[in-house]
Amino acid sequence: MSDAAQRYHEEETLGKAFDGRLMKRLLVYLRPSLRLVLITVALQFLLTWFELLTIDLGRQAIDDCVALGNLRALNRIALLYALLLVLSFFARYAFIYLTSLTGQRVILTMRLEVFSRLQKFSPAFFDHNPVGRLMTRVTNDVQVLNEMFTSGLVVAVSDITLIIGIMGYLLYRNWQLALITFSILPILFYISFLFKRKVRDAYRMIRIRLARINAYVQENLSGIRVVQLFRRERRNREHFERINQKHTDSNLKSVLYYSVFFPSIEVVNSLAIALIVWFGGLETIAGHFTFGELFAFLLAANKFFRPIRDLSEKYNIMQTAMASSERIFNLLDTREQIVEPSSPETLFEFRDAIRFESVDFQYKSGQPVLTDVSLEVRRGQRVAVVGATGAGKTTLISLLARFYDVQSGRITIDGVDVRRMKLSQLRRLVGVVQQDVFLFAGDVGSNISLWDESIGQEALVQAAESVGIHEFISGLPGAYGAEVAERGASFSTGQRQLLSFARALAYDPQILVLDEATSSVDTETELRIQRALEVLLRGRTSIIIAHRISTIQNADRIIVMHHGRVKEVGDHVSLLEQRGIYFRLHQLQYHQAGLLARRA
Amino acid sequence: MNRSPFARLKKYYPAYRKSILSGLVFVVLTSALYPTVPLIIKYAVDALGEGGMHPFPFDLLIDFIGAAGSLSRVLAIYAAAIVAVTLVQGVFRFLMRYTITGASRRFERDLRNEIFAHLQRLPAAWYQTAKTGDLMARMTNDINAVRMLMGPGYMYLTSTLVTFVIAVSFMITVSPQLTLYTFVPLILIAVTTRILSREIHRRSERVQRHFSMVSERVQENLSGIRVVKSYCREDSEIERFRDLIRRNMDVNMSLARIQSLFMPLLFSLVVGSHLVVLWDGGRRILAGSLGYGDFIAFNVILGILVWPMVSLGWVVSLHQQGKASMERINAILESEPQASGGEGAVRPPDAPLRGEIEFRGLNFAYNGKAVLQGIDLRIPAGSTVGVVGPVGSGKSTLANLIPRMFEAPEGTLLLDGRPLAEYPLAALRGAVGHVPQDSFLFSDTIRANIAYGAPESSFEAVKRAAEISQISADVEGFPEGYDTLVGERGVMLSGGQKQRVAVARAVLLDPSVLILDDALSAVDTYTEEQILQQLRGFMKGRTTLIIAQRLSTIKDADRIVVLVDGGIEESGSHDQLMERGGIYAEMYRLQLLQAELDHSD
Repeated sequence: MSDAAQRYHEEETLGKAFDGRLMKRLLVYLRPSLRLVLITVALQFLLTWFELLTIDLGRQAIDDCVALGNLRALNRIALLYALLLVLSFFARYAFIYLTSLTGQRVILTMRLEVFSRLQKFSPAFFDHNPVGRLMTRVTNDVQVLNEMFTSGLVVAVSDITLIIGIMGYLLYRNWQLALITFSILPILFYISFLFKRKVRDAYRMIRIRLARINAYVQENLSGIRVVQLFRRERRNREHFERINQKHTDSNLKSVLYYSVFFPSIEVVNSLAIALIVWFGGLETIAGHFTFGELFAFLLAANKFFRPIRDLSEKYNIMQTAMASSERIFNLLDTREQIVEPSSPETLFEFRDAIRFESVDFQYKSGQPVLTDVSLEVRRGQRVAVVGATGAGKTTLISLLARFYDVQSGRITIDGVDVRRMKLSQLRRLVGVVQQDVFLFAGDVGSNISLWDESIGQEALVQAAESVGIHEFISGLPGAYGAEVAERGASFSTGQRQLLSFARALAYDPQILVLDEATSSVDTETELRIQRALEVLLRGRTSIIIAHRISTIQNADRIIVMHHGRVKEVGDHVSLLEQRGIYFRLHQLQYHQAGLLARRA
Repeated sequence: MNRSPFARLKKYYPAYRKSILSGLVFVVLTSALYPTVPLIIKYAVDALGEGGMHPFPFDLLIDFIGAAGSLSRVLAIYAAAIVAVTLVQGVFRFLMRYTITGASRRFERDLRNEIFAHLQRLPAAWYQTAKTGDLMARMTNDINAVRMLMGPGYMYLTSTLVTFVIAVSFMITVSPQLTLYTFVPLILIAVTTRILSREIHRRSERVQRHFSMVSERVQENLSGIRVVKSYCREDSEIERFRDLIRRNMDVNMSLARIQSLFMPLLFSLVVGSHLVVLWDGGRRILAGSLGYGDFIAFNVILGILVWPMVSLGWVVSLHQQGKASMERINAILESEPQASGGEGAVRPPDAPLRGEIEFRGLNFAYNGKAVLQGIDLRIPAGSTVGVVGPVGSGKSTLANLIPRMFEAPEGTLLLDGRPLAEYPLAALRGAVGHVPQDSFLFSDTIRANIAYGAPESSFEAVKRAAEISQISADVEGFPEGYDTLVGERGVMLSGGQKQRVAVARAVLLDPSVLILDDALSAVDTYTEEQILQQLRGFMKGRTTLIIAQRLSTIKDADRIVVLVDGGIEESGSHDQLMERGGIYAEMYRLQLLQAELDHSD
């Protein structure tokens, strides 16, 4: 049904299980844990040796003790066996634990790297990449790699070591019988290979069909109102039953494969045992073979079937991991468009003026947002930018803070092109307060300081007091330590505004750029916000995308934007006299205010 | 609530009786054959020592083939028997797995169908509190947990019990004491599996919680990336994230510490039981009370018993997870679907409605909050009523009451003079064409979307509806025409196109009442005018209710109702309201100004 979902999942169709180039890059992440890796490898050899020793102790118990009637030797072997049991317990524990530790270290490094990389991208990057997809990189894709390191790679290596070890032991004990036993291996490999291929196809089908079910359910739940309004309940149920049946059919196919696979493996396994019983028995009678060796063969044969059977599972893990690592590396290799200058010009203090010089800008080619915008803001001035929605006001701010780069023209501060400045310095100089206040999970205090430790508790309280939200915060349970849950859902619009003012004040930028919120608040809150705004703007150069009449009237200069161009510039009175765009905007605003007043 | 959460599943039993019973037989047969191979090995090894003495039925077989003299042949017979028994067992094993797992997959299908069908019938109010993600999880993970218990879970449980009984009875005949000793480690396996898996489960949940914390943090950071950048907080965000994932790593390692115990413990206990056999068994051979064959058979049987023992502990965990999942599923299935109505209906349900609507002193509250108050409004059949008012004034709620998306209090909302409850729900909704605000489309073709409420409609009828809603020209411009796929939620279409498809969808119902809930907001004014004109012809003699932000949309309505804070503030024709000089007049002036500004440059 939902072909978008389907496409998405088919995109996940797996490729190679091993890609040398990717593997080489992945192994780099193991380098810091080299010592751990070496220890695990050593432990793996130790464990294999223990395993073989255990088998051989059984042989010795029969051949050297029981057969010779030596009880003391038997006791000694039992004791040795018990010791081995304890030792291998610890060795195995250490092995598994250290493997997890290595895996965890790798994903820690990797996750941090991906996250850090994401922090460096400019907003333009996030316009093109949905948050959900990026999150998958940081969370699931990295998780998959952890699985590759722990369950895939390490287990595969240890299984192979064990298989080789057992084969070696059997060859050493009786090479003829060993070869006879190994004769079933080709059959085993063939069956596993066949099974792996079948099951992989079946799983792909299951995944696609399950995705279809999920997409359909999701769509039906999101559109349940339409479903019910248009009485589609019965039809949709029937459709669902059909896609559900298809999913079941694929599942039954994989059930069939599994149902055939495991018994077949058992039969092959029994073939090996039968061979050992037959030929081993004959050898025993002939005196070339002992009961103990027969015993060891039977035990060892059982032990090396499981690893061989499971190797195909590892293949799947590796495949998924390769796909994930490819996506991660692609992200890490993505170039950032907004680049820091290699030799930035330093500007610690703003002295003169901000200038936009014939700036053109567009988000999408062919759709100009700003055209030939030139304007000047002198130090200490308060400039209001007004204009209808879509006039390009917010874009002005984004360009000044260099969230995007201009396509032509330039923006300078004290004559220095913003592209020649260090990003962090530019953004320290220019503080941006956005229209929609974004609150982070954490406490109230951290939402003001944004986890900047140089902003102490005193500065925090002072900022909050200045904008008049200190009292409110003090009233919260835990005051500045009170939790902000779910993006600040528990705060009113006005309170959020004030918090963001406090945030800006705490950072104390020399140039303040503010996108005034349009949302309506009650009169009392409105007054509070106006007072807070005055405090915030006092003694600061500011550019305000203004919606409040009071803000506009108090500005030194008003810039009127219309369809991406600067249309009128002047002060309130002179602009009104022009009876142009500003005049109309002003009337509109007055009427809106009037309507609000009537409602209240 | 003493009832078992699984009680609901009883109704599925008849459909699966055959599978369950035959599955059970196959489990017993499969498990019963498990100890056979060790037994044959024992005979074979015994034959090496004693010679000539063969137990039933091998004595007969050996005589029959005439192999008595040749040890090679005797051994070949035993070897063949091993393979033969495994083959037979393999067939049973195949049947067991295929019957039971297969049945569990079909059961999963049935349960999923039931939940889906039930979800379709739950009222809109129920969906206000339900989270889609959560419901999805129940339809996937929870169903799966129940299936795992019902299928593989019970299969392994039965298998373990049978294998256990038969293996033990064999071992006891050989040596009761040795059996007892051997079982101490084996029982410990089941116990530790149980204890460890409980603790592992607890810690895994913590790991899951922390993992979601990491996800949430990333999501939050990326959503607020502009703030992060404005305040140059990138480095401190990285620092904070480092702390978080370090803690996350600690939590993961605390799981690893205990999870890493599992396999070594298991191995050691298995090796421990081997040790018991080796030592005590060895002493018994020395004492002459045990043969080599018994000794080897004991060891092989141990290998067979390990996995059933592990699965015993696993089944207990499955049971707990399955129970919790079943309870979550029951929570859905036990929610009341909307009453389908029509009780005591006098009129035959298919007689066409005229479309006269009357609100009689209607009050409506949602979650204890009054949304509509004292609404008195009579809409004569065949008239057009416009509803305007600020955001949150209750306009949409008013519209939603008519097709019973929300239930109006009894007797306060009448259609053709009768309470809504008297109409069968399906008949009512068939008579009301509703174009909701969000114009939700399904990822299907345009044709299927228009015909969503009347799938049997002819292509001509679909095209006619498309013409009325002014989407036909757009559609015919697409290379695939009406077969164009609109994508998830209609992403391939523009906002205005989506809205027009949604209008066509409602028009095709040929409704007695048409409701447009701010349904033309993304359509330009010219096209809007065209649509309204077409609708006027189409809806002649039927009732139209138009909710709009843009006053031009409803300017020509027979009557305009201004809703403020859930109550009717003003009502009348455009001219009347303008004359009155109230809120409507003010809103109208404002919009004129806006339009003027938009058109200047």
